[in-house]
Amino acid sequence: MLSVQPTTVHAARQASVNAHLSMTGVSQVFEVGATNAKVQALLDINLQLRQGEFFTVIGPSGCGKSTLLDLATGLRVPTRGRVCFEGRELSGRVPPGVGIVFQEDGSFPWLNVRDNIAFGLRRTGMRTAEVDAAVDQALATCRLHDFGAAYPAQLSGGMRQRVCLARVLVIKPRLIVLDEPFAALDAQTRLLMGDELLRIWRETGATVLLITHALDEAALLSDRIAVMSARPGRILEIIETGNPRDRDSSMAEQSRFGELTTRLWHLLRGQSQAALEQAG
Amino acid sequence: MKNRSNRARLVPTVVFAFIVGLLEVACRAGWINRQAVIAPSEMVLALVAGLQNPDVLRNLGISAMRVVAAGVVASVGGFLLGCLLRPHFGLRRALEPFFATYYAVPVVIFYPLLTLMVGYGSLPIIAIGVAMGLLAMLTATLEAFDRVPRVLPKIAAAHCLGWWATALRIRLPSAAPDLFSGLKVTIGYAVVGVIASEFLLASEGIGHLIQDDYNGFRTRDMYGAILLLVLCVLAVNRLLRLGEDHIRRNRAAGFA
Repeated sequence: MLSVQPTTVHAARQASVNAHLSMTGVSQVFEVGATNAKVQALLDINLQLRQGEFFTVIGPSGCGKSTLLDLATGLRVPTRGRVCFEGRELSGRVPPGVGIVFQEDGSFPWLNVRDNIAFGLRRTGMRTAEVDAAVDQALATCRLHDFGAAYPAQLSGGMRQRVCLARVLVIKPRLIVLDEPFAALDAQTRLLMGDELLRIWRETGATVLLITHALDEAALLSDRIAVMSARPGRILEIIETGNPRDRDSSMAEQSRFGELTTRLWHLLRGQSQAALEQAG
Repeated sequence: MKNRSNRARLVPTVVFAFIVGLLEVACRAGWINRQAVIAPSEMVLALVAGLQNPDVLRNLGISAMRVVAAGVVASVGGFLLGCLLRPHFGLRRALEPFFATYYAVPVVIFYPLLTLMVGYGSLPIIAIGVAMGLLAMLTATLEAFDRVPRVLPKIAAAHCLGWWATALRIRLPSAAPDLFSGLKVTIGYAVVGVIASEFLLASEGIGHLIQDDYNGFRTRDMYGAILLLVLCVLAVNRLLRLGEDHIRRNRAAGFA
């Protein structure tokens, strides 16, 4: 039987002093179009991410997942509510210790893989030898050792995403935020990249916040999954997956994986239909 | 595969050689009036003679100086104006009809007016060259920065880069290939503007020399000067092409 333990929005509201990242009563309103019509993107989001956990946010298209990422990383200030990272409130700047991997290919085509990875480090005034050592380690972690001199145009989509991940890892982030990083990849590569991500997560001990719309990805990778509603985005439920820490894509063969994805789809089906109607 | 690529590269050379050969035969056989066109071999001889003539070299130097001045001002000015205009979408939309029709009116027609305003000499000629090239650089700048993928400035923000650092380390390198293409077109327009202005009213410059030879029925000298001008433009174009290839070298998909 499925061993997931659903918790409610009310449980998520509980202030957690030890939360690595917390969002309390967060709402976001956008003004759009020439008339500045107000659109409520997110409504009363309450989340607490535990240190070192793999937390996934899943929701229908257009529900405000990427807005949630912007708020969680300090790229945007919420209209209402508080976002705190390691106890400090974010104020429109990405704090040190947070690394972001975006959905789109964010590799710099004018730099080779080594320089791409070293991009963030070179600004810190670190010595060249130290930068080189850190880059070597990131290349090894992301299995890119033989491609240091290559340019992004010479790499596959999956490898380019690994370059972006390596560029984030090299700054030793305590929180890694990923916005649908494998969305542009084929199904097999996505599974393998998921395994890579799990391995890196275990090796670094960082907290991971993954934004995705893929049910299987969420079910395979996560410790906990927050399910979002259609716009305005709210947290409908937070699910503890009970996945073991040393998991990988072979879990897809187990019955609990099917049960988990079925449960996620059950929660999301109505929301996805609502999102489609909103888009139409 | 490589043979096919070499063959493809050979085609333009063969076609060019064939046309030159045909022209040589047509001129030598008297099928074409010698007052209208001279044989290509004679053009080369006229070119060699021109290169030994201090007057031709002086005029070529004057034109080159004007093209460089016009090219630099048009490139830098167009780039700066493009950077200033880029964030103002309302103003850009308002200026669109002006941009669309700019090259429909030949700027050279304003040359006499410019001579009245700023006097006779290099200044109005450079001004025409600038006017010809400026908009090409301005529009290239707008397009180049518009094409910077939206994710890159977000990455800059994620690395806490400020406005200047984002502009210099992210936006500029990302836009560089399109900016260089704009630079190539701008230099081309500057050459056209300067030479066309020299044709009209100037008292010196390679354009004036060609016009003077034409009016004096010195067809041989005229073609020598034209060939010299063509070779100079080709050399500049080749240099710019090398620069563009260098910038684009690592960015083409699967270039390895």
